[in-house]
Amino acid sequence: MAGNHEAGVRPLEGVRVIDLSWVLAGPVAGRLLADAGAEVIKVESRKRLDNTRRGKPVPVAPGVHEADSDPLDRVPLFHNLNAGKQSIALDLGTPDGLALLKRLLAISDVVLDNFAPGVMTRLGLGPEVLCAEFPQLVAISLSGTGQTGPLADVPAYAPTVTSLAGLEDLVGYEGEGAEGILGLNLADSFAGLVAFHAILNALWSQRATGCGQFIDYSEMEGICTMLAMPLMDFELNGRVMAPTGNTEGQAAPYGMFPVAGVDQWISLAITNDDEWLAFCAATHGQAWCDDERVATVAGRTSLRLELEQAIAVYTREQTAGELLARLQAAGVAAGPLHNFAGQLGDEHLRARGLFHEIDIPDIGPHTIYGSPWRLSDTPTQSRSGAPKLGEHTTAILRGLLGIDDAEIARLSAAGVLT
Amino acid sequence: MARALEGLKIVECGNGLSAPFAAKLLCEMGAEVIKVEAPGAGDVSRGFGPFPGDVNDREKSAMFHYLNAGKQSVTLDINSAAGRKLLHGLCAGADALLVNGDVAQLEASRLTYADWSAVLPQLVLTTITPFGFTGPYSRLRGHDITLCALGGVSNVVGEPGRAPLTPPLSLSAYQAGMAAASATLLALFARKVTGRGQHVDISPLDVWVTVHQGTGFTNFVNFGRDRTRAGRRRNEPYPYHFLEASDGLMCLIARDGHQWKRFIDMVGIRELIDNPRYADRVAMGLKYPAEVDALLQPWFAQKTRAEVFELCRGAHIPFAPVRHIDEVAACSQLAARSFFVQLPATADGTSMRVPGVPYQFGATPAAITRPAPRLGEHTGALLAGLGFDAQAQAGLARAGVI
Repeated sequence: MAGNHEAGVRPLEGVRVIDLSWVLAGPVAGRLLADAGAEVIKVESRKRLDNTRRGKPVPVAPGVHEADSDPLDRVPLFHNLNAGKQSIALDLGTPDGLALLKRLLAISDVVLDNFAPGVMTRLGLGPEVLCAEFPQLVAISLSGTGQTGPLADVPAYAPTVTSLAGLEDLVGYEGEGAEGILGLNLADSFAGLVAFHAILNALWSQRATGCGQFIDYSEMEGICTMLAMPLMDFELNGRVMAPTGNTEGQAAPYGMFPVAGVDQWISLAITNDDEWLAFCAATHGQAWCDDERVATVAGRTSLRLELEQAIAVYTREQTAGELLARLQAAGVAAGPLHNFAGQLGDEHLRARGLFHEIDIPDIGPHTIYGSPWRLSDTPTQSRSGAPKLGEHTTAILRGLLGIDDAEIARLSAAGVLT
Repeated sequence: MARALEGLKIVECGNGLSAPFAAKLLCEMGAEVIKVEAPGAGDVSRGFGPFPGDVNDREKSAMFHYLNAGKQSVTLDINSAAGRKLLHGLCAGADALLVNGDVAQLEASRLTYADWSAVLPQLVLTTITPFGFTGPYSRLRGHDITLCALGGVSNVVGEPGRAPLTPPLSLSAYQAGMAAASATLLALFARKVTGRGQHVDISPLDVWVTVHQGTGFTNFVNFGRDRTRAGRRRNEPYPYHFLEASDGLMCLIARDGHQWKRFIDMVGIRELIDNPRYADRVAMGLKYPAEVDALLQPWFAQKTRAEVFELCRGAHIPFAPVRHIDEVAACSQLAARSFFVQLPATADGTSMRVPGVPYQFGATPAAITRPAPRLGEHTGALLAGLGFDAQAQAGLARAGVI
C-alpha cells in the first residue's frame, strides 16, 4: 500500500516543526504532523526525559547486542507517540542549549509545547518573545486550563481536566451517580487532535501572509465544545444533566446486551421504526415481534426497561458472532464490544490500516497505530519509528545550522548536547 | 482582524452533528460555508433543542445555532436531477464539499468521490460515514454506541461485570468532525502542490482506534496487557479514582510520587505516613485500594469539593472536583477567558450564548459573523448568483427542488 505513494506528495512537505512537547497531548499532535509529511524535530534531553521514554522497553531484535542498545530507545509507547520525528538532544537549562533552540526556531514554521503555563516564559520563550523574534513562527502551547485566568496554575492530568469540564459527571448508570471515564485519557488525546487542527489553520494563514502567531489551547475548553447540549440546556432552562446510562433520547432498545460467554457484550441501537422492523425480522418468533405495544417509537420508549430486559434474556443465549451477522444482515446497527484483542483481530480495522507495521532499528518489525484519516491521493502514514534520543543531533547542527565539527565537539564536551 | 481561512469556500451537505461540526470549525476561522438543507424539514438538528423555555421551535434549536451560526443556508433537493445540477453549480466555485451519512445514502444521493472527481477535479470531497468507504464493514449500520463499543471506548467505562457504558452526547460525531476539518485542510495543502482535489474518507471509528488508544494499545500489543472496566477507578498506582467529599466526588490522581507525599503530609494521617504497607503505591492501587480509601474517607467526608480543591491547589496536588454542569457554566476560569460567546442576533431577536472555541489565536482569532441561518434563508441570493432569476427560482420552488 504505502509503496505506491512512497515517492508521492505529502500534504505538509516543507513544513518544519520544533516539538518541545512530552507525555501524551503534544506528542500526539507532533506525530500527526510527521505522518502528514512535516519535518518534526523533537527537542529532548536526558536531564528532562520525556516520561514515556521511561516506560517498559521491549527486547532487542535478533542480531542486535543488548549492550549496543539503550532501553530508552526501545519503549513501544514512545514509538507510538513519536514515530517519524527526528531527535536533537539539547539541555535547555544551559545558555548554549537555549541559543541553539532559538537558532532552530528562526528557521522553523511551528513550535509546539505542553509545559505547565509559565515554563516557556521562564525559559525566555514566552508568547511576546516568540512573536517578536520569530514573526514567521506558529507557536502553540497546550495546557489543562489555558495560559491565563484564575485556574491557569492548576496542575492537570487528563481525568482531572474532564472532571473540571463536567464530562466525568455525565457518564454513569441511569439513576446512579457519576461513574466517569477514568479508563480513557480523552482530554489529552483530543488535545492532540485539536492542536493539529489549530496548527493547520495558523499555517494556512502563514502561507498567505508570512506571519505566524501564538495559540493558547485549553484542554478543558476542548472538552466543553462537546458539552454544548447540557451547557446550553442549563443556560436556557436551568436543567442540570445527570447520567443516563446508555440511553439515547427516544431510541429503544439502545444499549449494551450480554451474549453467551463470560462478560461478553454487543451494542444494539434501534432509533426508528425501520430499524425496529429489521430487528424483528432478525429475531423472528420472539414475543416482541408481535407485541403491538412496542410497535412505535413512543411505545418502545415508554416500555424501554421491560423490553430491554426481555431482549437481554434472549441475547444471553446467543453467540456474538452469529447474532451480529444476523442483525447486520437485516440492517440493524449492532456490533461487538471490543477490547484490544478484539480490535487487533478485527478484519475491518485491519483493512482500514489502523494497525501500522514499521521496521525499527534495535527492535525489528513493530506495530503502532495508523492514521485517523484516509486521503485518497496523498495518504498520511508513519514511515519510521521514533528516533533514538539525540539520534539527529549532529546532523541537525551541521546540516540545518551549519555548525562545524569543532564547535559541535565543544558543545558536546560542555554537556549541552545531552 | 482577518481570519485564518478567509477566502476558502466550503459547501456542506451535512445533517445532525458530524459534518456540521466540521464545517463550523472551518467557518469560525474564516471560511465561507454554504449549508445545503433538504426542503421542508432541513437539518435534523433543528429539532434537537434545547429550546428557550422548552418551547419547540425549529428556528430556535440551540444545538442548530451552536453548530451552524455563521453559515448560509440553501434548501435543495439533491436527490432530484435539477437539484444535483444546482449543487454542482455551488461546488464549482468551492474548495471542499463536506458530507455525512451512511455509505448507501451517499451513493443514492450521488455524493461519492466517483460522482465528483471527473466533474470537479479540483474539489476536495470529505465524507463522514460510520465505518468509512472501504473495508468489510463499510455498508453496515452504526450509531454512536456501535462505534464506541468497537472503538474500545466502552470497554473501559463502567463497573466490572455490569453493562459497559458509552459516554453521552454522541462524542463519536465530534471526533469525526474534528478529524474531518483538519483532514480537509490537509487535502487543501496537498492541492497547492498537486493542483487537484481528493477524497477524504473519515470514520469516527478510525479516530477512536488510533489517536485515542495510543497508550493502552501499545501495552497490549507488546506486553499482552488488555484493559477492562474498573468502575470509578483505573488500575494504576494509587490514587487514580473518585472519592466522596461531603458534597460530591473528587477526582484523585497523583502520577508523581512527590504529589502523593505532599498530600498525605497535608492531611496528616499517621497510618499512611508511617505504615510501610502504604508506601507501595502500585500494590495500594492494584491490590487493596479500598483499604486506603477507607483511611482517607473521614478526611474527605468533612470537606466540600471546593475546600479540598483549594487545599490541594495550594500544595500543588492535582486533585480536582467532579463538577456538575451548572458548576462548569459558572466556572471562573471559563469566564475569565471569555469562553462562552453570544451569537449575533437573528432577525427575530434570538441570540444564543454558546461554547466558543478552545484555542485563542493571537493574530487571527475565531469569530462568528452571522447568526444561524433560517431554513433556506440564502437560497434566493445564492441561486441568483448562479444565474437563476426570480422566475426561474419560482419554477424550481414549484417543482419542489428548492
